[in-house]
Amino acid sequence: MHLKLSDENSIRDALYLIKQHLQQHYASATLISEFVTLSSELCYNAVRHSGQQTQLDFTLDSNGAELEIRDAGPGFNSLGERAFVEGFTTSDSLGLGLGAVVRMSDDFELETSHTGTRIKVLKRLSYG
Amino acid sequence: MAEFASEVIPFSSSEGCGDFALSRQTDVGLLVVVGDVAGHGDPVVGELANRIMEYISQSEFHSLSALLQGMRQVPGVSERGVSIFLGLFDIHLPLLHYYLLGDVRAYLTQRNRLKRLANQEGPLGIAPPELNHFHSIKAHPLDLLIVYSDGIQADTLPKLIDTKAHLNPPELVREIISSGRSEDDDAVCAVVRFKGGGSYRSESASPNLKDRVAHNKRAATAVIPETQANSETSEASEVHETPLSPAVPIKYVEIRPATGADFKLLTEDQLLANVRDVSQARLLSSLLWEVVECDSYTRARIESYLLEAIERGSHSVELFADNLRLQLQLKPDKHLIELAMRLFGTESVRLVDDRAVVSIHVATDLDRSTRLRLSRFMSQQSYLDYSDQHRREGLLAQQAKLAAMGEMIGAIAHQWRQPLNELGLRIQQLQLHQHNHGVDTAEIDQYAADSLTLIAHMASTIDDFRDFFSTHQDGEEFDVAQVIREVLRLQAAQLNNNNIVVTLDGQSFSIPGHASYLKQVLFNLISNSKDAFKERRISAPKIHLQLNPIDHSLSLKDNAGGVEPATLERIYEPYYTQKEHGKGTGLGLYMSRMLMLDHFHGSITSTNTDASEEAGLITRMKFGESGGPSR
Repeated sequence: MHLKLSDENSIRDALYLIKQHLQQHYASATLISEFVTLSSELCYNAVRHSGQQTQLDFTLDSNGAELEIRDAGPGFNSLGERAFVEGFTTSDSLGLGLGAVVRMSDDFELETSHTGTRIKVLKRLSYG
Repeated sequence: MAEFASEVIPFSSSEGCGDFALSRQTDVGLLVVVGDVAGHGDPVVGELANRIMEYISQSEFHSLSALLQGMRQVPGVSERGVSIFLGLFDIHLPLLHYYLLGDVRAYLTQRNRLKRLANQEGPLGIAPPELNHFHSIKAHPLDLLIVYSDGIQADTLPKLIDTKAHLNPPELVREIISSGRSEDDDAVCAVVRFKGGGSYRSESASPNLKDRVAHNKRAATAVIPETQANSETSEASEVHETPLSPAVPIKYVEIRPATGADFKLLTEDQLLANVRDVSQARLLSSLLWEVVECDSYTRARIESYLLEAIERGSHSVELFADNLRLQLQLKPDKHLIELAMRLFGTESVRLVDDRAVVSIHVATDLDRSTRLRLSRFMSQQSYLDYSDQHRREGLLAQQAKLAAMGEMIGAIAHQWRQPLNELGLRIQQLQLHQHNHGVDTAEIDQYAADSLTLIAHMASTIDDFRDFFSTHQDGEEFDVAQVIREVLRLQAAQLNNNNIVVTLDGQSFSIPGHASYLKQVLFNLISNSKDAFKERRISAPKIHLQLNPIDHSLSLKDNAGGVEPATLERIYEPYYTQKEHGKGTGLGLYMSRMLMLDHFHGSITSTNTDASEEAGLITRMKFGESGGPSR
């Protein structure tokens, strides 16, 4: 699933679609909740900071649920690892911060530079 | 937290060696640096490598970005260029942050899969610092970080990792160097095994500047025999253990005192669960929303907060509830308190004695039996058992749904056969009329109108079937007789085809829940009777449905011959079928029972008819008073 995010409405639509996909594949309520939570955090952060169109790719396969978010914003190269410090967050997101996203995901990758930011998270599927 | 090992092998002499590696503990994590100054065998190169190491070892650490910028200012770096891996294993999160510039290669073994870390072209000093790419990647316990310079052949690690991943870091460093070292350049290799928490352990053949030079001199003389290398590594080793959790004084400046009319501390008799680990937190999250009502956003926040609290080492979180609020009571922790304030508002957090109390306003429906059910779940069943059971039930439900869909398609085919025949006849008739005496406008109009009526009938049949399993339009209560009539209408074609006479008796009643679930149960039961009639060639098949509004029950009796007493008690087991091989899944009755138990909080039992009656099966369904949407 490939989507473009530009505002709050498009984020809500994307989160709804992600949730639908996960529900159709019998993901557990907890997993759905965690994945939607971390997706929400990443989507709001990306749209808020990039100020430009954000691309979202969501895939669901035997590896699990994977979300990749790319924006063409200014990145936070100079901030680096300090972006993960607890409490560093935006008022528009859920407020959990990147640290919680890392903890909730099974795999997490981030690359940021002056040309934009790419974040990929994977959550392994379990049933329950 | 991590174990570090490295080794540098100069091309000719230690003075002219441009490769280097070191680790350094900082307040925020373990710093790992592996570098390669362009050139080799030149004292200028060796001096520059030493200056960079000195800078890294002695400068105050603020951030990776600042360190990288500082290294760029070291005299000589901009002119010559340095390929560099600059990494930091985060002390607070399972993360490796890094910059990787130039010809140094870096890999991370993520759960035994080798992942090459992304390189940025061009060494440090060539491109302006603002163009650098910063990376973070999640590290898992026992993951290996392996970094080496271009003095080691590029494909060395991919070739040997499958057989050598079990080696400890110093052994793996030596293996990589001995397997892949090019003879025409300096070579450096560093390996870090991430342990996931606790403390750092640093073991390096060249942990600081002096050792690097000393080691280079040793290595330059000849190939070091393995035994000697081992002993020398051991001598040069430096091991230190440092606790990772600095005592941060907690300030509760924002917390309101535990007083006021709007605050209520919930007590022991309102305890819902004591959550001690992540699996219990997940289990509770799965169960909680059956009895607690709140929007999905609040739900996500509560679940995430609970997991955060446990994962951050709060050894137990006690969850209390009354009919107005959920209350989490836990050990005070600065981060968790701040997080609760952000998620639920500053008003939500109070400090009572030695406990942080987080109150969240929600609507709950907690009677005594629900509390007992939750606590029994939490105390007797592990999350794994629970999730495994749910997984199996999910799969069974899916199989049963597929089987029911097969039945549905059969029913649709029956419903459509007659109108399709009629449409075919009409088309032939129209063609015949045209050949014989031509067709006038009135006849075509009549033909079109009749055909459209038939098509509309077929479309409505499809709609009926589409809505069959849908819970979308179900209300809170439904009339049982109405549902029975709907099911009979859908199966009318098949019932008529098989000459099955169906009768319905008794006064109807209403029950709470999803009507589609009862439709599913009745569809299964009627299909089973129909199959038994066909298989046993019953000459006058009959089904009688009896409603009883007094005890909220419904019974279905057929005259298909009944079931062997020995197998009667097994017919509700999953995968148990009496039908011919390939004709039944053995899930219909099992799912019917699950729906009656879980959704309608009732029961379903089957017995053979009395000897005085015609041989058959009676299935009794009893609906509970508190039935409702629990699935």
